[in-house]
Amino acid sequence: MSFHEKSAWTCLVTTIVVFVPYFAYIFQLFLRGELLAPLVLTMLAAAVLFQVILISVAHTWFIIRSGQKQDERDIAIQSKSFRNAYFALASSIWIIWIVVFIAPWSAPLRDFLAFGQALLLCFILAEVTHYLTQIICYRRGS
Amino acid sequence: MARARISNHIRRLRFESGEMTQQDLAEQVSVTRQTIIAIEAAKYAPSLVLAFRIAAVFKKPLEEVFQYESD
Repeated sequence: MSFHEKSAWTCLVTTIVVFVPYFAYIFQLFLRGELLAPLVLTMLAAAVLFQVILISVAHTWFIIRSGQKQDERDIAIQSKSFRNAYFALASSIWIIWIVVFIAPWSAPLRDFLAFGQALLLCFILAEVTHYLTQIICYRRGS
Repeated sequence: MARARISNHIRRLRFESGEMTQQDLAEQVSVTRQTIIAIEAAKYAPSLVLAFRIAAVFKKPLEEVFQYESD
């Protein structure tokens, strides 16, 4: 497995491990009407810091073990994964936008903090799409 | 658009060149071994520059290493 494939697996797993519990908790707070800025920002900072530490440790280990080499296939796979991630980001933002401002039942989402979390979810979905595309391309050998 | 495939004789040429390993070839053309594996299996079509570099390693013209197949 190349450095970039290992990197994609690491980023995918850490994103899921960190952000699935994060959004599950945020959603519970949202349902209970307890979504408060200081708590959300502290949790977000902790989640991002935890992910950065996990990714840094893993990447340092991969570089020490097998080095970091990038060739034209890695660049081609990266372009493909960024294209898919952009599509996921753009479509999820449009969906959130339509839901928040058109659906009559979405009034609580119009709160700035809740809307910010919804946008963060779009960004995380795009990241997951990015890593998944990379993994699929590397596994297929394309 | 018709689907195209770039087939190749890299595996045979490697063996004819003193059983050259995929890693040896990868190092000579500055790519990863995984890329050579993908090219050999015709799952990845290399750039023109890389194709020329691979052909140069075997001292063969490009068309003796790679073939273009269109459906």
